[in-house]
Amino acid sequence: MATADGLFAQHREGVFRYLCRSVGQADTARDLTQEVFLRVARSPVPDAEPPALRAWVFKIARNLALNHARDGQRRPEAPDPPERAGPPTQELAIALRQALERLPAIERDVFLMRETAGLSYDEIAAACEITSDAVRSRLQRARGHLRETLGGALSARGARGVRLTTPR
Amino acid sequence: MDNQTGSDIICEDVIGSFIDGERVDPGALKAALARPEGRDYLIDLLALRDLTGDVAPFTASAPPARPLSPLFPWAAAAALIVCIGGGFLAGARVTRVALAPAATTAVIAPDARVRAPEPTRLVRLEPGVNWTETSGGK
Repeated sequence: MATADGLFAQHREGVFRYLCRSVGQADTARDLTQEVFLRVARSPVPDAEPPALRAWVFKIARNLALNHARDGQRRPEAPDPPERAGPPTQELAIALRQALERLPAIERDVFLMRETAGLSYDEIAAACEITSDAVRSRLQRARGHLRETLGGALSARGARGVRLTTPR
Repeated sequence: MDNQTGSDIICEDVIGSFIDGERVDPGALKAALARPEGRDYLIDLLALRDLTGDVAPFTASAPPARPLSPLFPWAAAAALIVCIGGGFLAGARVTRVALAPAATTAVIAPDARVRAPEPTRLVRLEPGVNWTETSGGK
């Protein structure tokens, strides 16, 4: 039977990466990650297989991210820091953040759960409460939008070299 | 995106599923990778994955609080009852001691009572005298 400590050890990095890209700020993502595992610790951990548990943890993370986004819409937005000329990687990271913000929430969540945390289609389906086929089509659509938006920047990144990795 | 053909969509679906570790039809994968667009798509997806996963590791400011034992509320209630009961007993004991008669009683002899001093001047009340006169008074 999984424990809250075990789930924290296994999924904290994936949850943090997902939240980091989802909310766009590392500090907020760190706070939300702590909140995710506080909720995990306060709830009875379901007696389920590891994939179902991972989906459960990410469902909590997704709900917190959605709540955060909703609260952010109610609060007056903090002014964006002035754009500065930075290294190409930083510019690309900003472009990615802006492209992710333009995606519909469900497409963004499906894409980020896959690419930052390596959830399978079935796990994403359970976390987002949609079917696996819907995950497949949303994922493909999100990738298409991002590829279209990032365009040449993505090709430049690819030109540095690519490798086949599986997100953890 | 909008001018994609059906074969483009299938090609992207197969390549996307392949890099996601899902089971794909080898013939469809071979066909998808035989097309230059398919190969470009594969390279872009890998670059996108590389970019998206490029996040600093998680550093917790403090580990999440451990869950409280289910017995904690009962233990807290028991401690509270012990404190209240102990305080009540201690208070009752102190009050009993305070109300108990003193061990020694002082007895004052009648002739030792303090008497008022004798008057040194006597003023008599005389009827008819105007005590409220204000004219020429000193």
